[in-house]
Amino acid sequence: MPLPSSLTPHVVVFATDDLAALLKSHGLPPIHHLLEHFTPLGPVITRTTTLVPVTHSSFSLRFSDLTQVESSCREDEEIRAGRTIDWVGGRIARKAPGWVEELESKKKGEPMMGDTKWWQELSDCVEGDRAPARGEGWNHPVALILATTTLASNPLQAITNLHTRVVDFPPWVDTNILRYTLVIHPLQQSTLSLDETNALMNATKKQFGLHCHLLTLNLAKPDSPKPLRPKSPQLPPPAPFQGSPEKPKLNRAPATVNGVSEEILEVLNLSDEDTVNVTRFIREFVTQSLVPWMERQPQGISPQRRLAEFSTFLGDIKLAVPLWESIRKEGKGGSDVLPMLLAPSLTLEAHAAYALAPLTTGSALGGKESVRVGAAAQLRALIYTIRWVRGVPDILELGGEKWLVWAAGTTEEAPMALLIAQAALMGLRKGLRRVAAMWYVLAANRLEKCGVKALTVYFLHRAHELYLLPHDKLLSPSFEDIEGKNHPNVGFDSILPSIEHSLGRLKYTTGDVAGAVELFLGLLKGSIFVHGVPHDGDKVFLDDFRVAFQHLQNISSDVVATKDWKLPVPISQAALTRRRFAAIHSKQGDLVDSDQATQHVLEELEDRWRSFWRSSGSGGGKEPLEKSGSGEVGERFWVDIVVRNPLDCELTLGDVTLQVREDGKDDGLPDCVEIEVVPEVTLGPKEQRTLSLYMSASRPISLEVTHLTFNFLSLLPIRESLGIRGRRLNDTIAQQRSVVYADDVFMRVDVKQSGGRLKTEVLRDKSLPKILGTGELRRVVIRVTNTGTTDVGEVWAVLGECGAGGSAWLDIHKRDPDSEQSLQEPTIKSNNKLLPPRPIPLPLEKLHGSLSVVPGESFDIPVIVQAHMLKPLELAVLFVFRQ
Amino acid sequence: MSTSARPTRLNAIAYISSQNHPILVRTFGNSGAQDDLKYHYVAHTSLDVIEERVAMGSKLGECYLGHLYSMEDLAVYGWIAPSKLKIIVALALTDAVIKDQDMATLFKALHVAYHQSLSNPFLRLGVSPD
Repeated sequence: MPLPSSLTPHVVVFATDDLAALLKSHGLPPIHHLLEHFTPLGPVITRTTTLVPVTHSSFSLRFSDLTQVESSCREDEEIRAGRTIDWVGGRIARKAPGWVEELESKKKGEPMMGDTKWWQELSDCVEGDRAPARGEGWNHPVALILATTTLASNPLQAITNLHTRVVDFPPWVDTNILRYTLVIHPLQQSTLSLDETNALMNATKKQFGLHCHLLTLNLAKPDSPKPLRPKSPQLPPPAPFQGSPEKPKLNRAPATVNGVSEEILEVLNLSDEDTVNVTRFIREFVTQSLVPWMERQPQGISPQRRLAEFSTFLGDIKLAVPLWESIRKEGKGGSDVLPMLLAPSLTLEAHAAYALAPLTTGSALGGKESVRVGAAAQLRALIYTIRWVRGVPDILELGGEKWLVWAAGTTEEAPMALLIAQAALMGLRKGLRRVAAMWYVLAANRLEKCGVKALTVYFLHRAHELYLLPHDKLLSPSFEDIEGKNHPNVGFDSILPSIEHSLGRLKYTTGDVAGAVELFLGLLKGSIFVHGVPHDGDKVFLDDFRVAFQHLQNISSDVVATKDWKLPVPISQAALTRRRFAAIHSKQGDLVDSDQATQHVLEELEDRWRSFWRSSGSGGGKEPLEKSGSGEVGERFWVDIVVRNPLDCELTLGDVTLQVREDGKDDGLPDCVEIEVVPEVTLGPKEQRTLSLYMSASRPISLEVTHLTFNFLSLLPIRESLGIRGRRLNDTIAQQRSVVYADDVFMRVDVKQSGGRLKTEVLRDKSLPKILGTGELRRVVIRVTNTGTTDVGEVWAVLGECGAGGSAWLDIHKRDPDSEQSLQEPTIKSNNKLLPPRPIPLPLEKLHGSLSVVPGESFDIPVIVQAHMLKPLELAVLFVFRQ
Repeated sequence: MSTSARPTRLNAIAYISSQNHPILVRTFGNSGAQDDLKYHYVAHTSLDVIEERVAMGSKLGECYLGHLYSMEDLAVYGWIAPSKLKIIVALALTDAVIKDQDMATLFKALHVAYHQSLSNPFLRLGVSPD
């Protein structure tokens, strides 16, 4: 694998003013940029110290301007590192919105292969730093090209002046460099003839050595200019000192080279012939001067580190690796280079950890938490990790994504956050979705502190998507179908709300208020209990939702009106909804506890009536039994809705009411129906309450109660369905293969015209006592009142069985039901059969004194009850009447 | 071994079911609400590392997965029972050497405690021990 660009030979170029002006006048970049355009070279063969040839399929060089490198050496390393990190962070913050917008517009995520835009930017900025450092020699120049033209009046003097210029490097920069003379002969502009230029070159070689070249250029405009390879981003020069009369320059001001401002060029205005000449020069420079010079250096270099670097440049791995190992053992570095030179193995991780340990904050690598590392160390860690990502083969298989997280440490800078984001992407490529999601969250938290909101939102979105992705189940998917349950994707439910809340707040601050409202609304589903986490999470979510929604209402009421907002957890419990009619309940407003057992008893009594009527009823017993569970025209009836607050804080519902529709029609509320609207309901934390809403109709109608509507927090109109899911359909093959349900079933209320109605009540003074003695007889009096509008002529009573615990029978044959004598000597008749007792026709003439009961009149029915055993006794009576 | 090494501190324990659902995440020490959430993240991300280790193929019958990963100031260790129950332990990073034998003993004790708790018909998992 080729080495990263920051580990390639660095060549500095010093050009005379006339050369700089010549290039600028022909629309060409400065000489160092021009030369770098022609790298990397094609196959280059180097030799090791044992003269073994090594073929480099691609040989890269870096060219820089000498004056810029000299000025960078004068700056304090710590200050420069701090400026670098700030500068990189600024570039990322400026470009991030564009990157995110491009990804979102193309609707594609980060690439699974290749680099993301921000990683590319970070790598280019960090690897583009050419300033020599004290701790390593990669940026120390290996060669100095002194360039001039033949336009000078005395070109040889110009060359001599170039060579006499003292290179202003600090003493710690390696001064052992190759000096090379480049003379550019512009054919059309120069006055020198071919012979004169040859003589000039001979004089130069005689005086300054054989490392020189005459580059002939005609500088003609090309027919179709080729794109110029963009220059890697360079750290702008530092601002002048305070008190200087010059104003500090902005970062984006064009840099100056030799006093000439450098414009950004995108095309190379070089003809094909000139291109060939320059390419030839570069190859000659590398193969005939630079490489042979470097190959001779191992005999003359004393610093071991410089020798190791040269060996690495030349591909002499057999020499380089032991050198780096011995440097590492001396504690002077080397661990950062070895992972790129050694074969993939687990030791590379140890090298990476050793290289990063003194450079990161936090104790992940055994460092001291209290010791803070400076900007230079942070930048060094950044450089190492970028080199490893580019230069270590199979870094994913070696778990290299962890190295990036180690390098980031706990530093809250944008470049470090991008290291963590890159680690997340690498983890994702390996299939480590959970780890990637956590790292995206970490990166987003750090970027938020740096103010890079676009990427913060983007990374939080990625983390959110990854948390929602279902993971592979260990059991077969058919297992859930057989169980008949819909297993939700239950996971770490405490993590998603924190991500969604952060995302919501960021969206609110970045202007996406509607998105923020949706996220906050989705959070209102009741906090998961997390030991130690305070329970005011719901209150925070609710307050944030309220603020965001109010703001959304203020800025765009259209969005609020058109969107169909839904609560994540319904407040109404549709399955617990009940109807209540005044006629069949003891008092207006009382709830009758019709539990399942009671319903079962009533259904049994109805079945007994039906079988009796079929067998012995007049007219064949075809008349159906009409239940009294219906409303009356003009009379109120109630619908009891159970509402439950899923949140751990108080909740207010405004304008609570019901939505109904006429059975079989889809129109809105019928005109004849009046429904109560409760202005405000306040539910306590996790409170469950039953709300009774009355309705009344002014004509006979069949209604379906479809929805409960209310204003959530008196702000957001919500409409919750009160339908219960229909039965699962299994009639066709398609329905058997997939899960299909019938339409939702809604509560139905029939409102009928007033007709016959009976109301029954147990008289208080003649009611059943709470405790009966075994064998004791007691009389209970049931008063039956005609509350309808028509006469009732026939009434039957169906007595429920008291079971083995007791007996009950109607005492309807005695003249004086209050007589104690009748109670003491009752005549009990039994048919001695196990069949349940048949319905008894009530003798109205005896009980009421007339053949029919007119509306408003009532009669009493005495019932005698006897307890046989020590067990609870239940008395149930069904009254059936015919108008 | 450093003579000034801090004693090893147990920061959190997490039990995760065979279906990768959290059963219990318990923190120790004076940790704040944010730290408690952090250990949920730690337990969640440990699942990826455990799946990777299991896929690589541990020795037959070996439950102790060893050191899973380190992050910031934590060292995370893992255990997978034959029933696929996972136990995650997060220790504070110190200079002290932590022996695998000690960690395996700790995990065995945690596994036994889990089974004893399951056998308790009066156990209420959602109630704070305070």
